[in-house]
Amino acid sequence: MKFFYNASAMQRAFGTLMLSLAQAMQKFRSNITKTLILGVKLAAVFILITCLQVSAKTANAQKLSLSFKNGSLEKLFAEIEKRTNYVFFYDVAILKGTRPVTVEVKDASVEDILATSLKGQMLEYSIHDRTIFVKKGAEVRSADVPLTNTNGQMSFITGLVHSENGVPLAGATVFIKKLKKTGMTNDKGEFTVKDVPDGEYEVEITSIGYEPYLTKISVVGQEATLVASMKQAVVGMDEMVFKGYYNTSKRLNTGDVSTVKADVIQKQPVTDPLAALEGRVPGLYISQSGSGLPGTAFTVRLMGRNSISNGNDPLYIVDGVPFGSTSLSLVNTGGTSLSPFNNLSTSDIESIEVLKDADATAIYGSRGANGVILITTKKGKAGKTRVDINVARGANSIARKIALLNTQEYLQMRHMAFQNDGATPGAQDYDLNGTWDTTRYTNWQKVLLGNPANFTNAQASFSGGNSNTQFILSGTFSRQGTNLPGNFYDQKGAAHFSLSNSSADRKFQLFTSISYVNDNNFLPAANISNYVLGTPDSPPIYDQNGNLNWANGTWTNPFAILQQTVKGITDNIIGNLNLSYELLPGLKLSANVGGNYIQSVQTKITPLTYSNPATATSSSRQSYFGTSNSKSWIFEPQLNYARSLGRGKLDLLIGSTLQENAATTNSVTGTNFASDALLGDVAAAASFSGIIYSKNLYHYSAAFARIGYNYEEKYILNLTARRDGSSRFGPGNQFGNFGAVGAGWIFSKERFFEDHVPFLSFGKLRASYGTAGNDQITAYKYLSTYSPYGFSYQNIAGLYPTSLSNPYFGWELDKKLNGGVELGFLKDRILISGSYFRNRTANQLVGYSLPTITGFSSVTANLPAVVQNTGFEFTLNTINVQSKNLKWTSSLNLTIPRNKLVSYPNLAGSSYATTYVVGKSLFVQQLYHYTGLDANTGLYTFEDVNHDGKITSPQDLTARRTLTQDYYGGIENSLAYKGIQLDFFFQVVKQTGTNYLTSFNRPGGFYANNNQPTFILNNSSLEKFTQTFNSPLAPAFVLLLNSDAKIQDASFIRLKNVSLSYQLPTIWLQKVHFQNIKIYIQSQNLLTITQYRGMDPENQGYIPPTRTVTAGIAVGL
Amino acid sequence: MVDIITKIITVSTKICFFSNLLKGLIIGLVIIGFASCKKFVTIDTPVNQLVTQSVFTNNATATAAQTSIYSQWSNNTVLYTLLLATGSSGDELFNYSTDLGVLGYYTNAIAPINERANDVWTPAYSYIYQANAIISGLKNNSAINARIAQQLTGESEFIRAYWHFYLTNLFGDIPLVTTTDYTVNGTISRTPQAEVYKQIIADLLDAQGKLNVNFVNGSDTAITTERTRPTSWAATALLARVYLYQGDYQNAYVQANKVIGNTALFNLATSLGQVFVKNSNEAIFQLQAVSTSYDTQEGYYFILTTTPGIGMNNCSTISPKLLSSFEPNDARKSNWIGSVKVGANTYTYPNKYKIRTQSTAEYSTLLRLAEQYLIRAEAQANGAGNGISGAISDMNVIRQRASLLTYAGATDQASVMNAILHERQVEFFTEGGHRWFDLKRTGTLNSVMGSPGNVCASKGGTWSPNAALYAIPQTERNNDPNLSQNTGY
Repeated sequence: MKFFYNASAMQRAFGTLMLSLAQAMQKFRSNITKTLILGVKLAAVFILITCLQVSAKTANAQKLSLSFKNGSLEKLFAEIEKRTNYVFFYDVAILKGTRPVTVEVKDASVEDILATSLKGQMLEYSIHDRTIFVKKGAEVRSADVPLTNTNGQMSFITGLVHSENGVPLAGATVFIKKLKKTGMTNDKGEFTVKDVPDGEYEVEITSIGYEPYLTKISVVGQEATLVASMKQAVVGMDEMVFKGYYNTSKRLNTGDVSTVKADVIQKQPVTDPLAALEGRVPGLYISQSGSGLPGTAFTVRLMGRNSISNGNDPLYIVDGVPFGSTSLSLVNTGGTSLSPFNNLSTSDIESIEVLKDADATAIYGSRGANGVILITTKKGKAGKTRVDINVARGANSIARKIALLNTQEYLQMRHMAFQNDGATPGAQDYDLNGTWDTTRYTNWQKVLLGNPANFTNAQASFSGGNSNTQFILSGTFSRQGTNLPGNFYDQKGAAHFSLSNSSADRKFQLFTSISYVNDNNFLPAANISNYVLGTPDSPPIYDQNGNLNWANGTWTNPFAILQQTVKGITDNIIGNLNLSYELLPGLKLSANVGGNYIQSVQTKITPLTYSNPATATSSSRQSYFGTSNSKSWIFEPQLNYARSLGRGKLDLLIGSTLQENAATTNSVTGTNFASDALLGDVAAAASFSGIIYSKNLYHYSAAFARIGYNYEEKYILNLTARRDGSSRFGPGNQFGNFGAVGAGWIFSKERFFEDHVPFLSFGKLRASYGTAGNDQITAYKYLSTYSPYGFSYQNIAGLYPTSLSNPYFGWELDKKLNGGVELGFLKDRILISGSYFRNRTANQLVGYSLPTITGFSSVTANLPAVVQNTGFEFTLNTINVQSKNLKWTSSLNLTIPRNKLVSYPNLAGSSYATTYVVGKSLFVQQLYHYTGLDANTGLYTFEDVNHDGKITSPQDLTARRTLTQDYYGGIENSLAYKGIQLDFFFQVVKQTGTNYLTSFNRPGGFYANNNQPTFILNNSSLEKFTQTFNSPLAPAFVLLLNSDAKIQDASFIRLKNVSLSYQLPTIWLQKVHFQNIKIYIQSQNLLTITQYRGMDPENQGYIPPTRTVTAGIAVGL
Repeated sequence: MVDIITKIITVSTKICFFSNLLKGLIIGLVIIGFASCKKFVTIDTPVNQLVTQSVFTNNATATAAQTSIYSQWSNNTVLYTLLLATGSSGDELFNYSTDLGVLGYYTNAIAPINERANDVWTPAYSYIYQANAIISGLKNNSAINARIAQQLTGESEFIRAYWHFYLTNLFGDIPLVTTTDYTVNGTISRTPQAEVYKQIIADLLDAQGKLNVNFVNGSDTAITTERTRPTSWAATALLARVYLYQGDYQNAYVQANKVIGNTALFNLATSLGQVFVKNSNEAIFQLQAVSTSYDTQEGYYFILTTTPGIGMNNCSTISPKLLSSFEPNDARKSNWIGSVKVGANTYTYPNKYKIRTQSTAEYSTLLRLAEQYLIRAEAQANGAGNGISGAISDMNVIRQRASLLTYAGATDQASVMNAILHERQVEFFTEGGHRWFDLKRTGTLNSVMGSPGNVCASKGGTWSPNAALYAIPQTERNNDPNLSQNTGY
């Protein structure tokens, strides 16, 4: 079979591609598939038309004069094509044996010409839009022109669909149930459904993001007009789901997407949007990765860990502009890096969409292997211009503490240690030998982490617009203190502007948004949490003169550590412009242009007071000055085509992406400052070292296409394909092809369910399968390079090798399978969804560990290993009570993830031999197996697997423990009674982690920070205390730290968020001419329930997450 | 009628315009998507890095690659950790550190998972890699000036020999690396020590012929007073040491003799305080001070200003055994050992380098003339040159500088050998790993560390002869499955 559009064009590759698709589709036999085939054919035609030859002239020039003598039909068709905007679509074989024709007409319609020339040729034709289909048939019928009613006149329903605010809605589907006829609105919101005989009809109008509009209409005298005002769906099945290049609704979505909306984000007193997602999204695990201080980083894993060593971060898109997930920090603050997302303003976010499966992410192709997180900022709404002001203030405190030994208990431990060793305190045992005052007690936990801290957030916005133009302008300020001693803070100022505009004929549309955030972060450089374990009888912090007390160099004063600070100032500007023009009805050309510039300037100062004055010299003063910035732009031209087709709606999209990111860093360390006061001034340094400059360039290009077909809102098919190129790969390996297929069946729309299962209000089965890629490595890895070495020798600036060459690596490939069922009961009062996913990542892109014998510790390579993430996700949303005054809703989400290293050829012979185990999770740790205390020796004992009398690595490392989540989720309850609203959210995590042993030293000795938790006293399961490394107890303790004894259940239930608000009654508001007044109290991390022994089960070993309580007021004018 | 015409014109103009626009845009779209993206994703080479091949197309960048090895070396703690490890393992240092790696050395009980051997191993192999890259990059390379290529190749051969020498003396059999191919070196096995020595000697002999006989500056050819680049004499001096270690006394004598004979360039510093200053007459090869924090790692991490630390640095004092090894009136004891008083306690420390922070007055001295005298002495004591009398006379040169009387002990070979070894102990303490290697190569290690010397027991350990060789770093064994472990670990 061969389709002919145009003899020469037909040979093109694109046609064949679509042809094979069409052929594959033809194997199905049913009405649906016939329609689908048509869809695919149309897609082929569409793409051929758009890509190869464009001759659309006019939609109206239907009449033509023709003098055509004794030519073949093929030539006639070509002539008609040439002179009209029609295109022919036929199998060349059917023209065999047809006789030549002669046509001599003046001002005749195409229908007439075809009717005459095809007469008696055993061919029939039909016209769909501007495509003429010619096929074998019994007799030529007079064409698919609009049927006429009994009076011989055309009949139709026309109408207008707009939103509540009066903004016309394009692309809405109008469905006349009885006739199974559909129509679609144009950009002005207008529609026409032809061929409707007189009578009364039920009409359903659906538009994505709006609640369905149901009405009845009577067609009398061939004509009826309908005006529909659609209500925006805020919750429920019709809520808009934003999938990047196109939108759909929860109901029609074929992919796995979760959405967190502004109202949920704003209930939480947090300044980093990632913090607002914790526990809220199935499949997404977010935890505080570092210090727990404001502004610092999170770990984000979407549907598990796919990559062995590189790039497990999802792709983040803010208003169409890719946003880097790697921190710009050049030096650590609080022992960790700053979160790049802290440079977004939470209160300007409208929604966060988390795209998970292949169907949802394939359109992002490559970069979507670890999922995609789309952040959409707020837009103005048509209507009265309004001013909203929201101010909240509150306090932070540390959410969890651990009971530590006081002086008396500590000294008891120390004395016991000496007793056990048969030794007496020596000259350096300052804590015992009288050097320090043993009656002193400092509760370091309280001193270092118990200080009051404020939280302030204030926002004002100005928004409004009419049906053609909408805008919003807002400004935000927030400031968070820390519980550390000293004036540390994270402070943000943000401005956001967005504007939408359409031309009067609504053919031209423009959307632009600009967000700017300035973040000012001031924190200590070190992770101070270790110092919480300071010796309880340590000397006073300050001496009599008020200076930091060094006690003759007998200790390191934690307040001196706090003298080393980092000031980080980050400016982030994200701008986006989207233009679209409707070229022809249903055909829209658009372009998205966006840019992001983010710059972080960090100054880390080490004043003289940081060092012991006994040894400090002016060269102890140091300042590190680092600047890093990232500039990126993206350009995405697109063509969209939407039309109603048969009883469904067809959406086509082709487009391409060009993206560039240029990141530069430069830093220098200055020394020998004359004074501490000058440390912030780079020019005041007498000498410089470690001058570093680096630049990373990334180019990315792609072409993509999507075909979506939705048949009667019952059967939905979504095909996406993409070809991507990344500059991170060497020549020849830059390109990868990715694609996905997603399908949905809304079975509740089947008559059987409608008739027999009335309590089922919604039922959908969906499945998807596809591929995505990963290129999250740094630039130029395929080259062997030398970089400048920061020090010169004989006045020659040095060069040193920085990477080995491996030109062969390419895309990491992720194959994703996802299936789900979504059910709604009792008019969607109960919504249940469950899904299963299986992601397999092969061709792992890693920094493959090398022995340093090679001169390097790693080389970038594709590893022939397969990592699998599987899991179940459940959500349950219920409306428990819904009465006039009271509404109570609950929602629950649960994820059960599993991770497995499926295969790894020659793992035993690789550098990961002791790290990973085939068939086990990547989170596995290989440890010694702890077998208890030896009653005779009092030593910890371990399983000697190979019976060689020694505990050795790797032979005895046989205890395998998986340190990850067994399941996690959250439960939200919302109660609304008149103007009062109460929300509370519990985060639930069942996981295995490392216990207190990893944060504490061996009890008994005198080291810096060697206080111990109180439960070590009188604990018969612990080894005797010792104060010397010469005791055999010491190596046994070292083994313990590498054994399964350090593994513990780290599960927790956390009351993550409580929010209580009161909305003042409308009557009062009218009196004071306010639109809205709301007062509220919010709290984050209020309560944690856990058996975990240690500081905090979430970040295990750092400062626990902050508990915030705020009170605020929101006013609308 | 006019209306209609106007309308038609407007519509057709609009249509024409947009159909052309559409055509253009779509063609643009397709072209952008398919044709130009290939070019778009091929980016220029980095601005702040040089592709390796291009490093060796230019004299200046080739020299920069060479001299950067010295600045990395001068700036790397390897200078200190090598001395800390060998000094702690042997009988030179008393330890205060609670670091498990340091304790492993100190108690002669290295646990492969806690070892700090990577501190020496990794930089050593990094410099060997860089030297190999230069040797192969300059081979048959016509883009580089021939004299420069010859000098740089010689320097790289010297570096390769130097670090293979240290690795084999610390670890025994080691991977011998003479190429840059990671696919080969990533799975390399250990080479027997004898073969490693063969390569070391071959490299040094080649370097001897290639290297300039004078110290050169950054031009690689012009002469300078800065003794911070290897010369032909550096290769000769190291060769003398290598022959000595192998018991090839004849060759050791010949090589040491050559260096000592070059009095135009090398003379013993007249005062002990001048031995380690920059460009000292005695220096055969030094590393220029490049750090902004210190002149030398040795000065920065050994000199104590307060109580010894419990970490990796400033954590040792001179061992009582070493302190008592000095003969009365040995000026080296007072000149090269410093002390600090904290309360009632006095802590002693190696003070060959006088300056702790940065002043650009001292350079780390890797090869110096005094060693050549004692090599020649030992070679003569073992039958080379003038025999015992030559040995005693060489030893006396060193003793006299330390304000000691000439050697007056017995003149049998064993006694003279003992005297030379003792002289080496007090001359080269905490320098170059000499003491630890001397104990091993002369077969005295077991009697010193174990019974009857019992040094190991005095440090809180139990001596095993296996401790003579350090453990191969476990991380390296994890990454290279063909890397075997030394006995006893």
